Amino acid sequence: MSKSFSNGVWSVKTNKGTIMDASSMAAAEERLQIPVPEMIFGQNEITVTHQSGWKLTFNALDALDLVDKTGNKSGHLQVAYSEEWRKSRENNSHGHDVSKIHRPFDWTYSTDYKGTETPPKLVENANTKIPFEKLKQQKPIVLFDEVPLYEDELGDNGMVTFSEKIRVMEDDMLILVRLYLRVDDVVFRIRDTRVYIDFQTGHVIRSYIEKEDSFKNVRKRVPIGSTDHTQLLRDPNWIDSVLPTTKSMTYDCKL
Amino acid sequence: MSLTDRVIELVQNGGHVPESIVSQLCQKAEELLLEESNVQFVHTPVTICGDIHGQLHDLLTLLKTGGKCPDTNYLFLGDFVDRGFYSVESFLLLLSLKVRYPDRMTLIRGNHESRQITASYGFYDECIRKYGSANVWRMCCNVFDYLSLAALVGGPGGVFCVHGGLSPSITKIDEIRSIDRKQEVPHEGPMCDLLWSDPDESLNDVTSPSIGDMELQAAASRDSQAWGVSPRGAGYLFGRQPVEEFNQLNNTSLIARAHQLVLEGYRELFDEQLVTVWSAPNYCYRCGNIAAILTIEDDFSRTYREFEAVEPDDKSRVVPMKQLTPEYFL
Repeated sequence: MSKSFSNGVWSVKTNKGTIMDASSMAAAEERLQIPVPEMIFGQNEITVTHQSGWKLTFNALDALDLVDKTGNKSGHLQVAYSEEWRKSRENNSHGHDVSKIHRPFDWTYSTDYKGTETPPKLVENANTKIPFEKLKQQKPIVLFDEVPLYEDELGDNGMVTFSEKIRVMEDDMLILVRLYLRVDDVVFRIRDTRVYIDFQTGHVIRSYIEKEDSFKNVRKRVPIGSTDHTQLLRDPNWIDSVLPTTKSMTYDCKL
Repeated sequence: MSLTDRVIELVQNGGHVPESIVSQLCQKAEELLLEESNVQFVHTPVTICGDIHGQLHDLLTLLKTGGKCPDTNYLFLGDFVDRGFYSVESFLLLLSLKVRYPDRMTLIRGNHESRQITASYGFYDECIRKYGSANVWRMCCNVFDYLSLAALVGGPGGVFCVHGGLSPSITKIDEIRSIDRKQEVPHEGPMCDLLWSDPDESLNDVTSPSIGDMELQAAASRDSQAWGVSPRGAGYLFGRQPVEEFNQLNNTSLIARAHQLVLEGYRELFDEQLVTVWSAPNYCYRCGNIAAILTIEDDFSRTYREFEAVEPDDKSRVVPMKQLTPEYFL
């Protein structure tokens, strides 16, 4: 399933298919050198192309390539009951050594992917800003799509989703690529990349924001007297509204 | 009309099963399941089914694909609930068939048949939405505690069936029989392993691609790398060697398990000594995967049958692919 838009100068294309089959997954693991998420939408992508040949695309494999492949940088996060689990295993295994972590890596699949750009033109610029006021004017949308890139249920210890949304209006467009992570009783994390393009001026603005907090802190933010407190903890929009920003960067270029 | 026939008819026609009927059904099911052993013996031929996850309409397709119960003898490997929108109906349908035809329907426990997991992954919320209280959820969870942990299909040379996989604490099937299963799925120990562990081809496989001294290291620690702990810090991964040893020691030819999504509906590993069967097509209404069921014949030959997700139509209550309405996200 694909959708496309073009105004002669800019063109946009989205593509959506099924999760990967066994042979594609094997090839992906070979390339990435980590076990891939259980739901990986290998054909899915959003691509924006300028008539000059400049191209920005978002796809799952490039994003996964930036996941910490050793777990060293991301601090070897563990599920909440890990300690308890390991202790119980010490004398309980018929003499096999079964206590070794197999292929450690960042199993939360947290990526700081901001898109694949050719040729690179976007440069960091702290003084630029996406014009949200303008985006709040509800101009007719000519193309809208939601494209999942990958998801994992983290062995039922929470969830991670990495997906993108796009809306194209007559004069401008916005892409939001979001990593949403919940590790039960451990952490919440959101990483948002937004790309705004003004078709009139050729101004491309990209922002990247990291938000994160412990599960414990987030739980404290649930309003007292809230009827369903677990439901709020499963609502990404509410989580987004309470997580503190830990990192923020902006980039831009003119085409 | 008997209680079970009434539930089966209600569920198949999109009706609501009253709480009082759920209560009676759960009570009957508990009485029946209490008598079953931790490892249920199942005769061939039998059709083995993987995860369902509340996808009722696909479960109905499955029963059409495999043949009507009791004409077909079924074994479901757990994970009846959560994720999909019809966990209550899916579980009640399977439970009714179990009570009605106890010798033609075997249900074993998956990791989602647990209070803690269902509280986070959909079944609890669904019960509250459909019944206005947690009573039905509580009753179903009590039934979960009675479900068997594994099944053995056929005699010597048969098939060992379990939801997740092997446990380093269990070498012989008989060791499973001594587990006190009537409890919430614990966070650790052999019962937890059986419902949670995963095979991993990269374990204990000297031919797998690795670089430089990693390869030497892998070869040197061949034995110790038959098992690994998941990088998540809990849960086992097992390689080829434990599978070969288990089948040899227990005189089985195959380990059939579910627990992991596969696009093709099933996937055989380790020279066909283990298979993952997945029976929820288009999982979560967006993965586009195929589902499969596996029939084990009297001579232990295997027949896989595949089926696809139900196409949504206006008359049925099938949840269509998420409708995309343009939104002014920021």
